[in-house]
Amino acid sequence: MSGPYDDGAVHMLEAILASVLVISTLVMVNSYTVRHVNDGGNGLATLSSDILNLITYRDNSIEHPGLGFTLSSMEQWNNSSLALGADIEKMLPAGVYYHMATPYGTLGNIPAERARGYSRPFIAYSGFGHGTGEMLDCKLVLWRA
Amino acid sequence: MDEAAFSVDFAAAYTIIAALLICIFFMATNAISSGFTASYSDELKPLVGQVGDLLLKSQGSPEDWYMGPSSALNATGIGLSDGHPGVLSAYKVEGLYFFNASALKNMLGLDDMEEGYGLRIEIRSLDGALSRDLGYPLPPDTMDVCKSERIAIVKEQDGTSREAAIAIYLWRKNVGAV
Repeated sequence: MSGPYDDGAVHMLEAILASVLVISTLVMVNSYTVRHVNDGGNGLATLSSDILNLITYRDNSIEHPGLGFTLSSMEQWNNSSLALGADIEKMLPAGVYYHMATPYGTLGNIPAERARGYSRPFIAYSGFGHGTGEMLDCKLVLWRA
Repeated sequence: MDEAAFSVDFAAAYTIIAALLICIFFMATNAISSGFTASYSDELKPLVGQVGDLLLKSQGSPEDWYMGPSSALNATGIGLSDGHPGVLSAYKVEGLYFFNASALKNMLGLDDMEEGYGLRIEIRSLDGALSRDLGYPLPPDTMDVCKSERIAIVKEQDGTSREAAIAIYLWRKNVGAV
């Protein structure tokens, strides 16, 4: 059954296969270039700053407690921290998670093992209302899964 | 028969090679240009961050620049903060309409003789009550636009507060590829 026609068909198959391999390699290189360049940036640093400003300076209420109010005492932390955490979650874009550590406890999800994130330490004053008046070492971590 | 087979073979191989070369050319061009174009966008990140900080954390100079067209146009700087970082005055947000796209860009420190930058600011409250678009329209189909998303509170004079998302787009005109 072998002959010049069979040889031609084999060559065509080889050419098609080679074309597919080269094109798939180029597609991979092409997509890698774009993804690599777009992946960087300090968006989480800016976002963490904006979130802290927002929860620090917004008007305080039972439904939407401010940071100073929530950290004014252990009792207030127990009462308001869940509402504060729910508000922070609403501010996060899809795929971004938060973890806030305070002397009274933590909020959010602990960052995964190899998660890329940004950690912003801050000091909160617990002098709101009848607060204790202490300076509290806290930390807000934003991370992507 | 051999000559005919050679002709068919040759024509098919030639077609495949030609198609392959065309694909390689376009994909290589795209890979190179998209890499460069995305790097143009990355280079603008510090600048778009400064513009965002200026809007969200500064009150402007003078602080009452938003009182009327003349005070706005004579201002040396504009900022939307009502005194606290991230808390914006609704009056100042409306005051942005005293500027056209070019003047807005200049007031935010993007003054350039060659008109090299494009700027667009979109302010949307999360409850949908506030929606403001300022600056130039976004250039269609370009990849070199740098976008910065910020969050803040817009405070009305009656004390009503609205959480808002502020999107700032910055790009260089005549740079990058589609």
